[in-house]
Amino acid sequence: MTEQKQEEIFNCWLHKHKALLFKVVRTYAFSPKDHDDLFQEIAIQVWRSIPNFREESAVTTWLYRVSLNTAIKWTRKETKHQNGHSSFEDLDHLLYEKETSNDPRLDWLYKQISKLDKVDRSITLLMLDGFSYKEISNILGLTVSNIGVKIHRIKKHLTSLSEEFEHHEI
Amino acid sequence: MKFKKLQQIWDQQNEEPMYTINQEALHDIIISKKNKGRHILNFSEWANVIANLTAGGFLLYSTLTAQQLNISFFILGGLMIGVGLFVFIGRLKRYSQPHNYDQTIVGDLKEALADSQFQVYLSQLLRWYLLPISILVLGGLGLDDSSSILFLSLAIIFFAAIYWFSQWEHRYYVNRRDELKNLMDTLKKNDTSPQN
Repeated sequence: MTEQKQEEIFNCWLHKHKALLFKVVRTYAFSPKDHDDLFQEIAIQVWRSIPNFREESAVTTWLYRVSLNTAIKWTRKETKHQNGHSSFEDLDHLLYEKETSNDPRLDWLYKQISKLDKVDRSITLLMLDGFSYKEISNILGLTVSNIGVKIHRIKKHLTSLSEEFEHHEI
Repeated sequence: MKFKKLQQIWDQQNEEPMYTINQEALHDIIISKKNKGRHILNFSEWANVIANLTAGGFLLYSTLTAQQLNISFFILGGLMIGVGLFVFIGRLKRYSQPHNYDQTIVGDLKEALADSQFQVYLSQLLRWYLLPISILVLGGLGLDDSSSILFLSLAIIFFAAIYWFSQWEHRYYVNRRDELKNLMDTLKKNDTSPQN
């Protein structure tokens, strides 16, 4: 594959699936600086992964696989790196969350997802984005039955939390 | 809340982008690029003015006071002083013009782009200027019987190296300008109307 072709694909994917990448970023990174770092890390890995894409799966499936793996690795690295040290907040970030905050319930949902463990976070993200058990199993390398059990548990957990949230909201 | 409702809340983010460009940070980056570009331009203009006027003045003085007039070096001295003055006057003209760039992202970007464009023009001009300089220097050396073939060859290699470096430098300025141009195109394409 020529570099020009790789660049074309990369730009096309980035343009079409930016929202997908941002969902992953928002689920695994919590400060503007970390959003930037993780987004860049994911973009680099996506770029590197392009020659290995064989079109055996959908682009979104592929992107989720790459970005979730990157995010999980990144989280490990960050945890090890920070190791109790609080990081300084950088002042400048080109990328930032819209302040319009369309719906506080969405912020709340992200917050709850971020409290789950790394694998459950990935499963929740994929489940909410409409991936089937089989697709989730392919992306994360877990058995379908395991995914089924986890999804059932996550749904139950989120639903009960949402009832509490609604109660407080009212 | 039923899970279906949670799903709906999740799906609504697909309707509009969750992230946007931090205009303030972008503006800061543009200002820093503008300042850096201005600094480089200032340095290269002054370096050219001082180097050309000094070297040209010295050449003219030494050829006019020498027993035998070296035409090549005499022309070269005149050319260097001419170019030094040309760059200096060009700079004065540029700074005397009222620049009406506003303090917005687009205004600062336009200013950075104008400087960058001028830097490209200047480096292109100086690359062409290298041609008469090398011809006249080689001509001047050639008129001197004591200069050997080896010395002339070294001079040719030296000018070739200078030309190669100037090409590399010119490309650097062109890339800087193109980067700013692309940013301007992107801002226009997205029809952003920055507020700061």
